[in-house]
Formats: sequence, C-alpha cells, structure tokens
Amino acid sequence: MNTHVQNFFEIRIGRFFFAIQAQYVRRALPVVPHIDVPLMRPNFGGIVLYNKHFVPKLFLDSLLGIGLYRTSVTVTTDSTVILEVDGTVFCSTVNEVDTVASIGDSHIMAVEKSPEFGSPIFPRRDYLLGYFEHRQKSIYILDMLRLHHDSFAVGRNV
Amino acid sequence: MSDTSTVQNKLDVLVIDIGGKLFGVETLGIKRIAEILPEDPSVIIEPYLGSYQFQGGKIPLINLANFFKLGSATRLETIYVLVCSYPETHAETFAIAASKVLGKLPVVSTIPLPLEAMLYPDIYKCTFEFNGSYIILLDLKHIFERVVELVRSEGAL
Repeated sequence: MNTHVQNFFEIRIGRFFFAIQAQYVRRALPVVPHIDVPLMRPNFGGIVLYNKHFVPKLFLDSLLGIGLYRTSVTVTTDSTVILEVDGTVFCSTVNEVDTVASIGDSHIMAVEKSPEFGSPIFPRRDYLLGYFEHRQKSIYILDMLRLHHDSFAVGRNV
Repeated sequence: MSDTSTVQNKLDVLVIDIGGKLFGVETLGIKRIAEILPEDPSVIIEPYLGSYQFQGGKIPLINLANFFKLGSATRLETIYVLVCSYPETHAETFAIAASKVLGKLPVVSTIPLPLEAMLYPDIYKCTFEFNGSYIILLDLKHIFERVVELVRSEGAL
C-alpha cells in the first residue's frame, strides 16, 4: 500500500524543532538585518529587504509562545527564512535550518502524544498540525495557514 | 507584490528625526518650520495631541514620538514644529513635533511597504533610500486622522 509522503523543511527555534510544509518555504538566507517600523501588527518586528521588496518579519517564537525559552547553544546558526503563504510573502529569523525531510503520513502523530506535550513551556497547540520523530528529535508541524490567518487577517485595523 | 517604483514627478522630501528614528515627509504640505524651546508658551506638548500658536490661533500639534512609541519630544532641548496641511486639499492645518530636521532631498525611486503587516496601513506611503539605509515616507493626512481617532476613543477630545 502506498503511503502519502510530504516534504517538510525543518527549523529550530529555541529548543523546539518545527517542520514547515516545503511548499511554503521560498528560501533560507543568512540573517538579513531588518528595519524597524513603528506600529506593526502584533508579533511583527520590522521589515526585511528581499529581492528588491520589503517583506514583514514575523517573530515566530513570540507567536508560538516560546519567546522566553532559549536554548543553551552558543554557536549562532541563525537564518532568515523567506515564507509565502496564500500569496503573502514574509520572513522569520530562526535559530537553525535543517534539510528537507520526506515524511510519510503514517509517521505523523497527534501533538498530544508527544512526550513534551503538557510541559510548562510548549508551542501553542493551535498552531501545530501534528508531530513526527526524525533523528531522535520531536518535530512539530506548523499550521502555516492558521498562522498566516491569525497574523495577517484577524483584527485588521482598516 | 509591486516592484521598486520610479517616481514620475520626483518627490521633494524633508528628512526629520522623531524620537531617534528618521522619517520622511513631503515638503508639499509643510507651511512653516519653527525651532522652539519645550517651555515656549506657544507650544503645548501632550501625549498625542497638544497645540501650537500659529497665525493668531491654536492648531493641533501631533506628538508623533509618542504615537509611534519612540522617545518623548518633551525631554528635548529644542523642538522642531512643522506646520502642515493636507497635501491634496491644503485644507486643515495642523503641526507635528520633531526632534531634528535633517534637510530636504529629491526622491526618485521608492519601494512599497508590506502594508498587510501594519496596524494602520494608511499612515505610511513608501520607503526611500537615504545614506545607505531606507526611510519611511509618512502620510501626514492619515496620521492626523488616526491620532484624532485615537484621542477621541480615549475620551480626551
């Protein structure tokens, strides 16, 4: 029986590992400096020049509620990841990017089954689609459509 | 997403410092620039909307530093007051407070801002290059409207 396989781009933020469905990732770059803009929507922190356009920078750690939980890793491997969801291009700085992993649907489990689920610091459950184990790590799949909707559409002030 | 655009008729822009951050405003709507002391009786600095004595009457004075959550204008030795009117209509007159006025320059190309990530998308027009970085061109007409809305919502107007 054939198992449906999805390609995930793996990133690390703080001590948590996340997977983004590969179709939402445009590029990963060394950290691109941002320009501060006052009065941006919640969880945004400036704009970044990418390919002659400015794209907003979304603080994923803040959105996911893990902003205060930092890893003890001292080597900086930060990257700026350019994302595109539903026609909106934006970026996020992450602590590490990894390879694209091909994961069969049968390996994706409910977030509640993760050994870390229920920890005092855990990524917001409503932004996670599930998780899988890869190289002895629990990788949480980000719900990019929900994340995009909540960041750009909810409470629009126009 | 729109590309870098060349301005058809070049914009004349005044570069100003507001709370330690540089912004641009179109010179078209600027009627007068005055350098004054914070204790000057002609000026009343309020958290959002104070007043400035201009041509025998009081006009609203926007404290942009506070609106943008930047450094306060009241701690400065001198304040620059820019008397403005809506560039399109030249109707309503108001003033903005700035920390410094750096000078005027022509802008020939601009880059749009990602307005979808802005709390108030209409208060910014675009960005332009200045000294190797980028500065935001403000839409003063909409800023004035937003500040008035904000002050009204707080019941202070």
